[in-house]
Amino acid sequence: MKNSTLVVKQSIKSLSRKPTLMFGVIATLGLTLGAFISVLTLAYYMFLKPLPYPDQERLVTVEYRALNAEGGVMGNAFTYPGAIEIYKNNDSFDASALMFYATSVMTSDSAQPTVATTSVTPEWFDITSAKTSLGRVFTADEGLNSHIPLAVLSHKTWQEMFNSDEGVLDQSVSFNGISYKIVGVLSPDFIEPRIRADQSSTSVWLTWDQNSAMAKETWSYIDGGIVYVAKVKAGVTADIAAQQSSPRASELFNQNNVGIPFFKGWSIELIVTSLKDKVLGDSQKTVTMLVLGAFALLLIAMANITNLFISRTIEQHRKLAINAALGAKKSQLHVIFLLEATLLMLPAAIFGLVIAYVGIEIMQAFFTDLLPRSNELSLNFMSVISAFVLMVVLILTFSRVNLSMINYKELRAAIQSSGKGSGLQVSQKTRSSLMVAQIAIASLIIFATSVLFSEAYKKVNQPLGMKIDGLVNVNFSHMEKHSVKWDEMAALLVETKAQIERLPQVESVTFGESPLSSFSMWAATDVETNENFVPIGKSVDSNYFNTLDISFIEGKGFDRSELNGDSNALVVNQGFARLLSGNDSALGKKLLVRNKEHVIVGVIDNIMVPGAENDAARLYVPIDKANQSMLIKIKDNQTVDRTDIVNIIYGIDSKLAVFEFESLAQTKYMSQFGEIVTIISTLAISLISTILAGLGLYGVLNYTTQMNKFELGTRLALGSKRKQLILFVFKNNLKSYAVGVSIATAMLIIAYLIDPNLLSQYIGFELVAIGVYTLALILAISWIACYVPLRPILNRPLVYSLKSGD
Amino acid sequence: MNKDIKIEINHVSKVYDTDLVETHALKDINIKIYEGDYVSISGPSGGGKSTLLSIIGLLDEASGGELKIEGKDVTSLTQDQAAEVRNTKLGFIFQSFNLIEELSVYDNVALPLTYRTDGLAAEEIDKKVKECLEKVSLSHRLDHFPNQLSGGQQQRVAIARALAADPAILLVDEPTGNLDSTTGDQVMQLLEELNAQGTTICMVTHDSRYADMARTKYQLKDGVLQVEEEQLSEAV
Repeated sequence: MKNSTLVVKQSIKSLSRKPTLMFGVIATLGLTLGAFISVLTLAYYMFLKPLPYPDQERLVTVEYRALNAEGGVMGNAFTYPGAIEIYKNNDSFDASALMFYATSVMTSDSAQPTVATTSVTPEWFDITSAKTSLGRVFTADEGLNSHIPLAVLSHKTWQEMFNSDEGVLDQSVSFNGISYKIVGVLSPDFIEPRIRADQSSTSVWLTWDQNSAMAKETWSYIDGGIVYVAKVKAGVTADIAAQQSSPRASELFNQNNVGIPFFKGWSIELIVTSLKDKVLGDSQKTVTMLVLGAFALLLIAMANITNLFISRTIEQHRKLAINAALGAKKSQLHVIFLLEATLLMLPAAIFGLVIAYVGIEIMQAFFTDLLPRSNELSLNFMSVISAFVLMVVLILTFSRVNLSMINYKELRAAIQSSGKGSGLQVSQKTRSSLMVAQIAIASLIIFATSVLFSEAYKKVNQPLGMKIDGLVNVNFSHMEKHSVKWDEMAALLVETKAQIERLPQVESVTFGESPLSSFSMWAATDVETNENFVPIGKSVDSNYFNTLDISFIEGKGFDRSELNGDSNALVVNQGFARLLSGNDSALGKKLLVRNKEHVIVGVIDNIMVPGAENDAARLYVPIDKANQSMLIKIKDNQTVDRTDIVNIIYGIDSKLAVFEFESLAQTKYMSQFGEIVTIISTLAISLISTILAGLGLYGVLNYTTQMNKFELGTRLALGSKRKQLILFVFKNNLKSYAVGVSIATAMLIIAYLIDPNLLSQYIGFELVAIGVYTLALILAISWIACYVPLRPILNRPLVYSLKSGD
Repeated sequence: MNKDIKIEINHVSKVYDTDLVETHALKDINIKIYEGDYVSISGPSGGGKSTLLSIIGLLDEASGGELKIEGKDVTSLTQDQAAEVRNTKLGFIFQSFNLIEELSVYDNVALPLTYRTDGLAAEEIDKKVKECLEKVSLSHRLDHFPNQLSGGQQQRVAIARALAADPAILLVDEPTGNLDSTTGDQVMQLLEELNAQGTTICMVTHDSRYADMARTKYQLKDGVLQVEEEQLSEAV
């Protein structure tokens, strides 16, 4: 025991004299190990860990899909009465919950904050097994048609907006002029399933009946805010549930739309998806890529550290020789290596866990919108076990590499022969394998990240077909919107617009929603051919296209005189015009929209809205006097903030509220956040792997150059010029480059054969360009890694290279 | 008969400057080596012999003075110009042979020819390599590798390599240092024969027996060059 303590002490002492080595190993491995463990933890949540709800395997979401007579998908959202009917009558579910997602202005708060609200039927809390930390959730008699406005706060909202007030249950909260009595605060442990990719975490849960869905009695209007979650009966699969419920849904839809020609031949299909699949969405591919990327970085780091260990063993040659001469057996030398590796890997693994913790915190803080279930993440037992297993594997690998370098017989003799025939050599095979591995992995990472970078960069920088600089979108709501008549509301909005226009910072104001916000779906029928279309549309005023600098391909926009609700003018985009008239002019074409015949007066260029098809069919109708949304064009180098607008509306009507205030640039940024994260992370990964690979190759080539210093010196003495020598060394390593790059290519081809979808979307000229770029970059790294170790030989008098050779 | 001057050294010095001391390895060296000459520089270890040979061979830089090879000042050349001179004007023979293990005897001898700027044709290289190996009696070992040869044979390959570019002078550094006496004698015999055929040789050795085989003998002691007394008396 004493003996082993001594050996440990000696190893610690010996390592502490090499702070650069210790820092290099712990930092490189800690960072890459940390990144790998954090994505591995995320993958565990995504692929293995069940959702944190009882009977989670039976939980499903139900969606309503409208198909036209040809089977084309016309819409993917519930009609309000359609959802209620299934909720009330179905044979497939043990429990059903209706939800309506919305953002609402909290008018009970003087700051009028906009918060995420979800109206739910009481079953929602049973299905998710939600517990409260204060009060209660909604009871069965507070469900559909109970008309009692109640609210349950999320724990975060209670803390942040109500200062953790214990007396909150005596208070009410108001949204859109309706006062809701607060009956409970959810437990901090409650995890809300993120059913929709664009969903914010709910701040306040409201009773169902007061939800702000439009057209609650209409079977011809679909509302994207409605979400249906259910627990299927035991033994019933999602497919069976869908088959059982679809015919009745279809029948009800047709019965209630009979006589509307537009819906002739339509059918409804219910799409039943397991809640887990819904929550994970298509992000499994992203997470798989993340795991593979982090693993590849870890492999590069391992190759680098193998180099460091090799140099360390070479340095320790004399010490090892003395140990061997004094009788240390090969196994005892192995113990020394194991001990050193453990002393370096243990702090690296601990540092890795710290990095993983930070990584998980970052994911929770910034990426909950991008990575499903990241709100549930925590460093858990699995993370610690992975770190431990990886640590053991690394210790064994590194000590094994060291041991394989030793020729024990020669080592014993080395002490007697003044160091000649050292007994310590890194075989050419080991050196080449290290280089090949680094080149192959780095090529793969650089290629994959460049492909992802290029895609994301293109999306972010794609021309929008409009100018959004200096534009702010403002939405207004009225606290008594259900009782205020439109004419009255319109007059308030016109006055508001006029007063905003008078602000010195403002250049102009136009009625109309942000072009970057979602368009609503409209039904349109070609009067001439009777063909039905479901374009997406907005109501805009006469200055809208001009403000956004959207150009007209033909025709014109709306006149001021047309903004009165009686106009039949229509503007369509090029995408819709093509659908209607092919390459002919669409001007003058008549469309039945909202049961009224409209005429196309203008065709505008397609605009690019993040997340939507560029040539999606769009139509624009003139506003009826006003609109609850406005676009404010602010003068250069000026600003307008939310308070400026709130001050104006307070002077007009105290019940008017600013529902949303956001610059279009910010909307664009938010909607492209995923792409921006991709750009930053792919750049970072690409840079890290380039640096790691560069350092790794340099490590191997530096060793090789030192080994061959004498030969290189001789070549120079015989008349080789600098360029010839650099080329000679580079050519010697070209084989490793070629093998590495070929392995990377083969792996890509195998990946393509296994899953063609992985790459098929990228195949084209650009992929070739990225391939060439990757090859050139790796070649440049290899060149630099060859050249840098050669510099001392080339730049010092030759005699130094020839001296130490013998 | 007026012979060409192959090497001319005027006032060459070499100082190693460290933080604490300035070491004068060579002090005001002046030598002229004529075509066909056989010069030996001997002296105790650390006397500056190898430093002087390195400076003549453009492997090291002098701290001061002037060096001319075949009348051309080579004191301050760029690295590539120096490489060109080493390649075409100088033939090196090292104590430890400096053969490249991975190359065959043939390729070792051909190596300096492949660095030629004028780009020799393969047939020409082949002819020269075979000629040189013939001169050192190793024509039958073309395809062998250095580790398959004895020490004496390896040094003969090194001599053939040094001869390959038809250099102005052979610079020989302790040619027998790594050889036993019999083999050493054979190598010295070969050098003598080459000199007799017209090759100019400048040799550094600490072995007085071999130094005596040269026609012009210098002693280098503490960085100072002295012409051996015998020669001085001959001259007188």
